[in-house]
Amino acid sequence: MADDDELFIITQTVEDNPPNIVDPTLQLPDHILHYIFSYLSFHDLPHVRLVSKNWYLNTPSHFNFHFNASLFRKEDPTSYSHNDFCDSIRSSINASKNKLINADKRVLHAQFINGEYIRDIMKLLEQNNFHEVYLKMLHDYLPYIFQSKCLTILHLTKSVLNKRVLCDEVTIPSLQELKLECVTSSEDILSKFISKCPNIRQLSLVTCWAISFVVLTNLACLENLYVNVSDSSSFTNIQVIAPRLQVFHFILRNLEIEDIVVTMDIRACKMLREFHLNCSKFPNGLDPENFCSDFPHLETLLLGPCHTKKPIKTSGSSLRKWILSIPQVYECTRKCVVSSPNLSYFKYKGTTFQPYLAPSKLLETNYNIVLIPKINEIMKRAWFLKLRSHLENFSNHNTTLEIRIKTSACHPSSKPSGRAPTQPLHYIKHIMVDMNKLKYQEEHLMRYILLITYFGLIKKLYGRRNRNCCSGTHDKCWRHFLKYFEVKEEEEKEHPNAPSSFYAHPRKVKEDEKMDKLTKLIFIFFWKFNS
Amino acid sequence: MSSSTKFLTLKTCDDKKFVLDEAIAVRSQTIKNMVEDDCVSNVIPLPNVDSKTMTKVIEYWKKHSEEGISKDMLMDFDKAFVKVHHSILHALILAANFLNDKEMLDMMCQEVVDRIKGKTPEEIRKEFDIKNDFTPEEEEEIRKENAWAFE
Repeated sequence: MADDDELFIITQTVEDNPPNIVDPTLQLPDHILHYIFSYLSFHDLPHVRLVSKNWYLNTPSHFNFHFNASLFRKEDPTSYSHNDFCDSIRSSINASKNKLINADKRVLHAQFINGEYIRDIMKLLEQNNFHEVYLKMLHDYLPYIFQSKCLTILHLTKSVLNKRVLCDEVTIPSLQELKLECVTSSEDILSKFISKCPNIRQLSLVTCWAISFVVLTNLACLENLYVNVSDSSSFTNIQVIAPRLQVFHFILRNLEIEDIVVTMDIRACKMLREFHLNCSKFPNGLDPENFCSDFPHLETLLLGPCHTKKPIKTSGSSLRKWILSIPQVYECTRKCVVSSPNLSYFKYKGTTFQPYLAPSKLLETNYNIVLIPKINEIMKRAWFLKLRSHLENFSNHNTTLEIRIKTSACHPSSKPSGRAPTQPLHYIKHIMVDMNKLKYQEEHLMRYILLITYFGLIKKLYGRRNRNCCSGTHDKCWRHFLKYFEVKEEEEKEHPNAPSSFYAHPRKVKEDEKMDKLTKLIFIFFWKFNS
Repeated sequence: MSSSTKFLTLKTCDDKKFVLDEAIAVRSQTIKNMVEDDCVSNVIPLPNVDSKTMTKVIEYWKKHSEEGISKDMLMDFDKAFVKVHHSILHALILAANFLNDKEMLDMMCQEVVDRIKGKTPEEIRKEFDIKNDFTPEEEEEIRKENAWAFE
């Protein structure tokens, strides 16, 4: 075998751009680029600035105001100094008046600790016409709706909404995005409050306590809706009438009410393109046996752990991406029926893989299996052999296998012993190992996984000198089939403000609230299939 | 067809001609101004728009001028209309800008916004085939600026 065949390359993940690509944005006049960027939120602007020089030059200027009343809390007496806080706000505003007026985007973050003074401070702040407002309270009443002529984003955290907030007839027609997190309110007031924002495109309701139902009607512009009512112990019903709704995530994970079946009426949302459903029981109002019929444009379907005794049939011609999460908790005994001719992506996430849950039509690419093995014992040789035996289930598929280890209490204390198997699993194209929960034994774990699934010590991979290995054996070792592999370190997007992450793992993000980025190592193997 | 229907001839930069009902063509504020100012001779030149893009623009105009078309049908159409490669999206934005059709311009720009939202710089570059023309030092400098300005 030629030396070249045995070489492996550890590549960087940065891809060179092919030559002669013309930057299409260079053709856009600056004012258009500026206009496009003006629609982006404060959180997207740092990314836009880093794309290219032209984008950097056209990124809107912004001014970011942070006010935190807790910094003015006096040690004795226990109350904080309201006057000091107000004076601080006044002097900050005066000191940066010109910058504030000239900024394309004015962003306000304010945290209150004393409900008595919120009205005064809001009056003081709202003279500056902010574009994005993030208000955090300590379960105090919001006295009225924050006013600004150009308000596009409003986030309210730990606020109480009562009748007072509905007193005036004010609406916020400019508002595009509304997020209510840890808000206490009644169902009726919540609906009326939301209806004061008639043009919102994105609505997030997260941890709204004491809410037993949500009714959202006449939201003509709503495109994205995220509802997480996991903390509500009496949630029963959600109705949404939003003709433009494209993305709907619904999460209700509450052990106290696992047996309650939610009624979900979203049939009016004909434009639904992406649907994430994560609740204990399959909701009434949705038909698992004919799942796609009400949503002719449904492209992405993520079914989280939901119990249903009926088989789930997904047969929409529009469906392209199907993600089945932790499916062993489905009570269906018959197989899921997937007859979506255009399906191009299937992702399975579970502790074990059941081939009968997979689409009958084999996909050439994008077959993604995420295994989260149950680990209640030390990961010794026997554990890995069992895993390898389970991996035989994938033999009919070109698969990306991702293994997530959720605990760091399962590592062996010594090197594995015994002879390793010698046949590589060709059909597994990529393997990714999530290292998030591993604190000290990353290499050790990799050695274990590679030992069993790829039949060699990673130490040999790095430092092997003898190129005549396996020359006398019938079965070639894994190196003969390895074209190259990539190792990349990736930062996981786990920012608490990112809706998709938040709704995917609400509790996890809560735990890691202060952690902006997590790092994981990804090993990607490319095999020579014809060798 | 009514005898009072007026037709305009639009000539794109690649010398293709499109004959279009004036009532539809005046969705473009640029063309409308020309018509109102009586500046229209036989042919209206569109030096900034090519025929391929103009075909798409006219398809949009015609659909949005159809009588009796339901909101649902228009939403379906718009959704499919913006699902194009970014190069076509950019061409349509330039055309809508030149023709001064604010409704169409807003819709196309909103699509670009949606494709940018929540993505990392590298993902955005990939989405729009943009070359990273920063040196590593420049990039690091901007990251530092960001850390300071967007914290």
